[in-house]
Amino acid sequence: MMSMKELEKKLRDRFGEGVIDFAIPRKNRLIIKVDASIVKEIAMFIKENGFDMPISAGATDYPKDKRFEVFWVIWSSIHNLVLILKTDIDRDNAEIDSLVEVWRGVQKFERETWELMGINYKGHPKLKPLLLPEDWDEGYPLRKDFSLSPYKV
Amino acid sequence: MTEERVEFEGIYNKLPRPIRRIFSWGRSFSIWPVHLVTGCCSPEFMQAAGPRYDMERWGVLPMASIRQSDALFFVGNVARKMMKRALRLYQQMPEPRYVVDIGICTISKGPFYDSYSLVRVADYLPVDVMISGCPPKPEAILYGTMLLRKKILGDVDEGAGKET
Repeated sequence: MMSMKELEKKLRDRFGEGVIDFAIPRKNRLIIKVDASIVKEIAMFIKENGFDMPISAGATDYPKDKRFEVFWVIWSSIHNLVLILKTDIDRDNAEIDSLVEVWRGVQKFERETWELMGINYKGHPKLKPLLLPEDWDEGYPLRKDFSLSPYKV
Repeated sequence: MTEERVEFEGIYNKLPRPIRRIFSWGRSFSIWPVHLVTGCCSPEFMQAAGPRYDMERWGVLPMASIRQSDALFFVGNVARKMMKRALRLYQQMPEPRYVVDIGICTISKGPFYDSYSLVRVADYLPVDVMISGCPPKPEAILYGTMLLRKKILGDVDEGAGKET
């Protein structure tokens, strides 16, 4: 059983400046904010340290700061910890490495985020519409600048 | 779809009026609906069909096969993707066919009035009876089937499948 301090030390030793923030908001919960360019290496690293089950993935839109905050939520069955891996990307050029090669389970979550938020996951094997109609071309519904007024009854 | 409807109406309206009356009288006592459950109005519909309210007293028997049914009940919110499939179901129904909206979501999208994915049924299909409520009580659903029956009986004079 590894403590959170140990994990923080390991991460900081290995990646240095790449780890922007390491927070423990409450018991059994970790939030790690990292640089977007090394997100895949960090994912590999934390998988090796026992975080084996992806619970969720998604993104948050911050139009004022012109950024998306992309996140993956991973649970460790060994340490009983929930880890949220976060990274910021540019809003105009929304691209990020896909983590499907690390955890296969994030495939559907990333596909959904791609569809609803318009975030392009590089290396994702199947970026096809999942929830929206097959012929959808009206934008990305979960972005803040998506207007709902045409749909009002 | 509309051409088929016109053709059917032509044949039906050529029949003598007493025979038409017999037809629609028989039809009105055996409305076999398919309930397309897409939302949470379905428990109310189940109650209406269950032993307490017992829709079958009036011959309303929930049917499994769309090809042997008379009415299509939309129970709950209908998404745009679902509507495509519902249209295919509607095309498989034998004439005369009726459409009933159950719940406010199917009528005007209800609490999801600005949703990008939901649609109103009336934009796609000729709806005969709209039962409002969120969800409607079983009594309301029964009342709606009564209205549908009245409408079917009224078809004798007005012509089949006439929209309200």
